[in-house]
Amino acid sequence: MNWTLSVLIICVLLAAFTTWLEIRRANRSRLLLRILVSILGIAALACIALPITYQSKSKISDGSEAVLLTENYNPDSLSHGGYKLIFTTSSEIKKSYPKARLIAGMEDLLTIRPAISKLHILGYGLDTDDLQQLGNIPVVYSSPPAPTGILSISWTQQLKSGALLKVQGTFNNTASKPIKLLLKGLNTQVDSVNIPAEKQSGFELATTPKITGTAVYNLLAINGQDTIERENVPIIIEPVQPVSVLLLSSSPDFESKFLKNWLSQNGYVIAIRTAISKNKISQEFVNMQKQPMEKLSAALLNKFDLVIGESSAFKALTGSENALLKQQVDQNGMGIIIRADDSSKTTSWLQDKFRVTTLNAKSQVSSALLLQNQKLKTTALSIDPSYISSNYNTQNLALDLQNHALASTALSGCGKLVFTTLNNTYNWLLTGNNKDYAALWSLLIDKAARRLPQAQNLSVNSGIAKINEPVNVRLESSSIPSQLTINKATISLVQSHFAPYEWNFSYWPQKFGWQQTIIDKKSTDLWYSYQKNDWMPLINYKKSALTKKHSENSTRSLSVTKQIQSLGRYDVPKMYFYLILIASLVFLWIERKLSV
Amino acid sequence: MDQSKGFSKIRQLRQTWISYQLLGDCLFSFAVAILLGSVLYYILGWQGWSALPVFVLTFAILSAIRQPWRITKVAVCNFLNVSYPELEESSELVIKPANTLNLLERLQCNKVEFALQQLPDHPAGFTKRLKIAAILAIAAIVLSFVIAKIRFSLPASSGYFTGSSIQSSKNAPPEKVLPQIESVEIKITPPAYTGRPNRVQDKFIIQVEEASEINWIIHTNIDIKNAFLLFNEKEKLPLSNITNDKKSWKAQKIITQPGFYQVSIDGKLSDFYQIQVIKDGPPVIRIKTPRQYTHIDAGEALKVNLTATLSDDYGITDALIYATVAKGSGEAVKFKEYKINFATSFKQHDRQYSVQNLFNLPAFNMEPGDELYFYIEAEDNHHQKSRTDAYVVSIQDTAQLLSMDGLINGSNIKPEYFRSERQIILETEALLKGRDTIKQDVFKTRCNDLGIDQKLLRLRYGKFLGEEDESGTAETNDDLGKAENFGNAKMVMDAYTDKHDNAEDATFLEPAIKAQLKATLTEMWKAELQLRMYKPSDALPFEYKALRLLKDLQQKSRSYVAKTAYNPPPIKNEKRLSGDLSKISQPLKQQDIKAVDDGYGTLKKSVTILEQLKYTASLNNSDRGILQLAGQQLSAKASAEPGIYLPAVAAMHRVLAADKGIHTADIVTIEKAIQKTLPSIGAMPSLIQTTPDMGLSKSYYKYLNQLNR
Repeated sequence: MNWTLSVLIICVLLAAFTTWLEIRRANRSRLLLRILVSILGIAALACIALPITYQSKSKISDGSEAVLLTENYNPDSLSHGGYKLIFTTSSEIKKSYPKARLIAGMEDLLTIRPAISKLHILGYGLDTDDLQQLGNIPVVYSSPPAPTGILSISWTQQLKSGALLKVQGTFNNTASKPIKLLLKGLNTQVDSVNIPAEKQSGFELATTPKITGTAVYNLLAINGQDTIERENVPIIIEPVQPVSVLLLSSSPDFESKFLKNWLSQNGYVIAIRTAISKNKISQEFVNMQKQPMEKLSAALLNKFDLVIGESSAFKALTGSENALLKQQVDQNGMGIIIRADDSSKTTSWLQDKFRVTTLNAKSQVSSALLLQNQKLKTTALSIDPSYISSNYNTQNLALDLQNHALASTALSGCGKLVFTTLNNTYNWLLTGNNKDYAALWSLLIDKAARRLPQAQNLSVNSGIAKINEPVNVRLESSSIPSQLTINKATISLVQSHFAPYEWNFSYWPQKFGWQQTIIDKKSTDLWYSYQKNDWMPLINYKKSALTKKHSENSTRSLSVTKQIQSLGRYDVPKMYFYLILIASLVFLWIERKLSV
Repeated sequence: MDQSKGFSKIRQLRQTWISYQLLGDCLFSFAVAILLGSVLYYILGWQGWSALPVFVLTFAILSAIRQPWRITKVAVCNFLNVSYPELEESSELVIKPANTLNLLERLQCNKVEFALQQLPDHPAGFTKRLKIAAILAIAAIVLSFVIAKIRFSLPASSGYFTGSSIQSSKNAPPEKVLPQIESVEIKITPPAYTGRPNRVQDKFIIQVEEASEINWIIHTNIDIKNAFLLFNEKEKLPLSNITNDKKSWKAQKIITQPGFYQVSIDGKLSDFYQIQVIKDGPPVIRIKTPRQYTHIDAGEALKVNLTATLSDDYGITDALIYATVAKGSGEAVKFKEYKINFATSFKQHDRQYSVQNLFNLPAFNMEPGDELYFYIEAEDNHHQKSRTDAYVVSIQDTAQLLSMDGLINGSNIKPEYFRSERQIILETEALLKGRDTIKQDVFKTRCNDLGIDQKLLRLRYGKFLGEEDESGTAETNDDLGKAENFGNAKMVMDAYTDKHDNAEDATFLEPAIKAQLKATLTEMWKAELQLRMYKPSDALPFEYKALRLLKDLQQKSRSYVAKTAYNPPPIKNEKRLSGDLSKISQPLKQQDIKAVDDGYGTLKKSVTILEQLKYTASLNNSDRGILQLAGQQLSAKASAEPGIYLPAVAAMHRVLAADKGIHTADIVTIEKAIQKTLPSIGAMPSLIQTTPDMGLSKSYYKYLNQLNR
């Protein structure tokens, strides 16, 4: 039962009781007056207990200008302002600048009389929540210079084993010396970059983590001997999930054989169908049961995430097989990698997105390859001079040094097609270059393979999650989650208004580190909460930008509407009710004395 | 009697003085000996007793210079006169015989006698030198202490036998020792071949030469029951008791492998101590001259000078040249082997030798066309051998160069002028032979003629290279002067420009051949120069060289392409792929291949556990098990490379032993070692997950498709 209701009930009962007492009294003189006075006294008592407010308008032009001090304010800018009202929310600023008034939150500024006509914010400013609380108060803000340190950061938190961890961001170096940024994994330096002196510049650090599981890498900014910033970079490295592959081959060749061997050695599921003569095929199954493969069927194709084949092998498929394949790709998201083994023009749906130009040069050319998302080029490979023309709906995956595309991908319904003119990548394996071979085929297979729908996905909405601060977490789930616990505490979820698969909740982490989230008592998700002082330059920079934006918006709305009055709620001073209560009690007491 | 009293006083004073002098010298020599001795002992590493001869020598020299025993009574008197005015400059009267004194002297003598008795037995002047020497001696002792202290901070470059490795182990941070251990003495006996002396250290960390014998003597401060050394967490070496009071223990082992060990006393294990092994490398041989392939042209001295340096860690015992002479060519080639000793003696077993040997090729019966192969083999005092690559010295075969064999039988005979160089050589040699019999003028003319021949030949070859004709300046440009050609730009350009982009010129010769042809022309130039200066003997080497280069060119331009005679019959298309395949079965294979485990699974898992430890600081049993397995893997690594992995093994033990309060520093150390151990992994294809959307995107696609229809 809430406070107001209970106070009212008690007061009504009290009023009824006193009225009854007054009526029952033998001396019935001034009865009506007594009843009224006692009811008035009880009403005053209720008003003391209850918060009584009233709405009122006040002219803004009446108000004075106020200053709000936030972190990193410049005391010099206060000296010539002549401001009378100086506020701050931080006790440390209060200590350094005792004239400032300490307030609990922004809503305190709204109750100030006369209303603040203009609020100057000094320092790095306020975050979104605080700015919202400011309401209509016009804000004047000029942002201080950007802090030294990392101003923006980005990395993939969930990686597959063997994938490259790239940490990208912007660093603002205000020092007169270059600053070295280090990426440390398992306390060993894995990459570093120099940020030139007095410059704000982007950086990218990369490494391939050697482990699986969770790890916290470190990003350090070092100026000479001093570490000026040390941040945690939490990552989750998941083991590789094998892809099941169907290899179609129109004749036995090395490329298919090496691909099959390479994948099967790593525990992948593979079936290979090779035409060895007229109407004769050779079938081979690795890590899977034997299946009838003379004819492609939906049941067979459902078992695979990816079909790899030469264009001649696809050409040899019957019309119904082709239609089935197209349906699997377009509707079920299966992928196809087409290896162009003849340059003859076909109008097949598999190839019409990729146009191949073959140079007239007779022989193969040797060239290194540039793979998508890889800085280093591969070692040289002799390639056929057949290149894929770039198209608006294709994406190039592998290029030679002259930027000719050798592998591209295009969408086809739900699925993806990858087309490549590379036909002798096994040469890499022959020369012992497993790395480039794995890099190329991982890229092609990753791009093409069927996407696996996740059951649940948890992500932190509010940027950097810190301890003792509210963190907005978003859960995307394929089914309605019945229970969610974080660190053994059950959390209530709010379903999103717009997307049926999205739920939101907010959580206050109490310890830093990995937060274990268990959904429906089975699947576990991890997210990381930072310590209070982590990523401070970034947060301050963001705050400053937000406050700047808010101040621009607030002054603009002010100039447009010329608002001169502001509506506000104000407390009725309790003093009046005390006076009424005492007066009525005094009356009742004197009346009793007089009547005796 | 009185006289003798004064006399004896003087005598006594003299003896005192002499003894003080001697004592002073003695102290001074002591100071010098202490100072020099400490310098020798601490810095140069000499033995401690070397200070003794220094002392004796200094004392002898000092005594010889000063000769304190030569101090006479007169000198004593002089000293007294100067020092004591009450003697009134007349103390020498006392030592004069009494009968030689006159009256006045006698009176004075009596007075002096009296004064003498008042003098102190040890006048201050006598001890002056003794005091200085004493101060010096004290200063020397202090200085030697200082030297003893600063010697640790000196770079370990001084002296070979003290060795840098041993110095660095002394610089290591203090070891953690079990509390029962009072002291340890480790005697290291390096194997004989190193020639290093035994050494004793009081630290557990050992850095030794391979196959050294180590003796541990451990003194404990209380009686203990048993003790052993545990090597690489596996091998136990019991310590045996030396004395009956169970306080001194010893063990012995020959160390051949690096690793680590712990001391166990009454079941308590100590910290890890690392054992580093310094391996003996094989001798290193560097040949400075000659180059790997040396070609001696005709006319050059048939001598090759071999210089080389041999070096080894401890000492070289022997080195030999193995030379092989190949004579003849083709099937008739004959080999003869020689073993040649260096002139240098290797009896000293020094660490480095510079050796040289002069091959006098005629001494090996070598003739033009023969080749000499040789290599050096050196052996060190650990019987490790190493040898160099084979070096080749060949002598130019002039006979073959002049032969016509290849030219006559060749399939593609080059034009005549390719042989002229040979003719020039023949004529030069004929001219040299007949030099003594012909007149000076005739010799010079013939020499000049030969030079002209050489020039003509050079110009002919020059044409191949597209060089300008030297006589080309006489060209007339009559046509240009005509009025109708005025302003004809093409014609002007034609007359005054070189046409370097002429296609025929550009593709006439390959760049490599062009370069060689150019080199040939240079040799011809030099030959011509010598001929024009009437020095045919000097021209001859250049001519030979030019000829050799030309011959090479000739061989290079030969090519042979065999004709193929096989013409396959045309294929009948209707017959293709029409064979009966009904009896051929279709191959069907099924196999299961598991992905190979890389054996680092535990280490990878342990990283996650360690990561968690940073927040929680408590271990459950399954995690403890994984960490223990990871610790074993690390300790296996540490036995091979203790320097890198031993700290991590120790840190892992501390983490496993501690129930609470695990140090982050330990986790850091372990993580570093794990990162070093784990191999880098490459990318592998993987299924990529999409975020859940309850089929929204699929239905979106479906409706989009319907709309498009």
